[in-house]
Amino acid sequence: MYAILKKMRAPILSAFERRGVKRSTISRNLVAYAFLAPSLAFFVVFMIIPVIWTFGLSLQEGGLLRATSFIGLSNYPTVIRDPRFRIAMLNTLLYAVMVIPAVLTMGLFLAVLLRQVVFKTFFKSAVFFPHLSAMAIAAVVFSYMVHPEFGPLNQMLRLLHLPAQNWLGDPQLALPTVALLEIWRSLGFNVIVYVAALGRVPEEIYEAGRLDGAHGWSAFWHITVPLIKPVILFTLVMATVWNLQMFDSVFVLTRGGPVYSTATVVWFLYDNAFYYDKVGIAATIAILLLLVTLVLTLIQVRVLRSEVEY
Amino acid sequence: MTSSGRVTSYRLARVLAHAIWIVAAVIALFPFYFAFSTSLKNTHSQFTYPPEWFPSSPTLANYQYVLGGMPYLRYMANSLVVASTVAVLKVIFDSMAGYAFAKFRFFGKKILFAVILSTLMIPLAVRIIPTFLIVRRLGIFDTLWALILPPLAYPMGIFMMAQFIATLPSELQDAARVDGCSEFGVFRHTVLPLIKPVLATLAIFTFLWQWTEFLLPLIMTYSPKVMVLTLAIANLKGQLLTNWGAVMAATFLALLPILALFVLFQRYFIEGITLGAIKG
Repeated sequence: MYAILKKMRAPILSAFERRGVKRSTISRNLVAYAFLAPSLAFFVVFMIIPVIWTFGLSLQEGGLLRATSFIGLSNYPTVIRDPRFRIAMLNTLLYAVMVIPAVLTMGLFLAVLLRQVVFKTFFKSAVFFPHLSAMAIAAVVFSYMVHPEFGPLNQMLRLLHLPAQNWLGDPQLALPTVALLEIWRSLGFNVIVYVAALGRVPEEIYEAGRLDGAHGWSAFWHITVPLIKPVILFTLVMATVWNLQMFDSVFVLTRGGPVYSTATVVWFLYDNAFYYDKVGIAATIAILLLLVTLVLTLIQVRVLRSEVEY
Repeated sequence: MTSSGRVTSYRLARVLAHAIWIVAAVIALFPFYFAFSTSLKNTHSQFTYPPEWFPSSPTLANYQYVLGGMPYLRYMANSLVVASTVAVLKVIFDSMAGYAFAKFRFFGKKILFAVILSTLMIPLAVRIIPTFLIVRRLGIFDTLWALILPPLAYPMGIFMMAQFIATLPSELQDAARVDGCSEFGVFRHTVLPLIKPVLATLAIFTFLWQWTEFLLPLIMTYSPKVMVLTLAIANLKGQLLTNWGAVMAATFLALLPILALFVLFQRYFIEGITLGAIKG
């Protein structure tokens, strides 16, 4: 590879030199692009081309390995009018609303409390631990925890003389149960991010605040929160992007059921692409998901940034 | 408030903080404990009511079943090969690209950086159909390469590297050039040794992300010989509906490599998360 680059160097150099570009500028560009080449190659093949291709496919009708034909934008109204897509989008947003505020507030709460706790590293590692297991594998463990007959969760309810629940079988409960799994798995991630952010708030600021009468809750609300707002924004955006594409847990736990109550957008996409072989519809779902993700994260950035800058 | 009152309330707050954290830690760890204890139960005691919190007659039969009854070690080897190959390649490629962004002025730099930045929000699910088609055209469908090459496109590491390399003094590189180093030699001798901790962090995180990946193997592979652990265990749940002990044994074994990595490199895990959040 290096030999090829060396061979290519001379003709490229002379071609640009004839147009009056400085030799040092040309060779600096060549070196920079040589360093970029491997990353850029994969970036183009597996990022740029797929995104453009997805959009292209959304304008087609046909299957994955069948011929497709151009039909313009008419997949978009078809998908948007499809009640299954609406339910899937609603489920996805509901799921995000159940998960994100819970992990963000509980994560921040635990991080603040950690200051007062001994064995900080142990506790931090313990809550981070679920994040180490793959979602698909955590879901397998979780399906046993919520098993209606043998699962410990229902056993505990019985001990407390509460009615046992059919966690994943009840259409009302299935989505919150799947959300619970995500909360359990991603809480520790947020805790660690917030602990690091809190550690960077200088102690003097709190001392100065105390002189102005800021204690406890008011110190937290008026000093801590504004200072770590960029980190809160980061975790919010990350959690939004991540939860809008939730799929693994649904695949393992419920396959979208019961009665479509846990079908998410990516589940619907997967079903259309790889089960029903409707590639144009699936690509349209992908583009709509991308648009929703972009709009939501842009709103979050706008709202939180403008508040930071007063 | 009297000072003794304040001390009492401070103590109370500390006790409360410990109580809350203990509950959080128990909730976080309990499923793993229960999975482990179930993996030691024989088929009879898995279904006793009330359940045994400690297996009364622990057995390794489930582990024997998992390791002997299916190519489990093959799945684990596949996962290890995929995750570590991606990690190594990513560390090399991303540090090279990060170096280019941090230390060179070149044509199209700003636009390229903006394009790369904007793709961070694009999840794999959005690209999965063309990725499937590209993988088929490259002739790597249902091979481990189909799991190794697509993740190399995700550009998070380039940013991490660019940020760090930008903080290194450029004089070192100039001096190495004066000494007659080749351009790659300059990178190898004046940049790589100084960014080792960041390289380790990126490697570990890439490993973790690939180790836990599910959608990609689900779409790109179907033969048992290239199956990875996440997929194998998800399938196992369907096949062994009633043998929870075996499923939990398989689950617990799948956790071991990542657990070892976590114990050995805990600092890098914590740092890695922090890096992305605070610098990014």
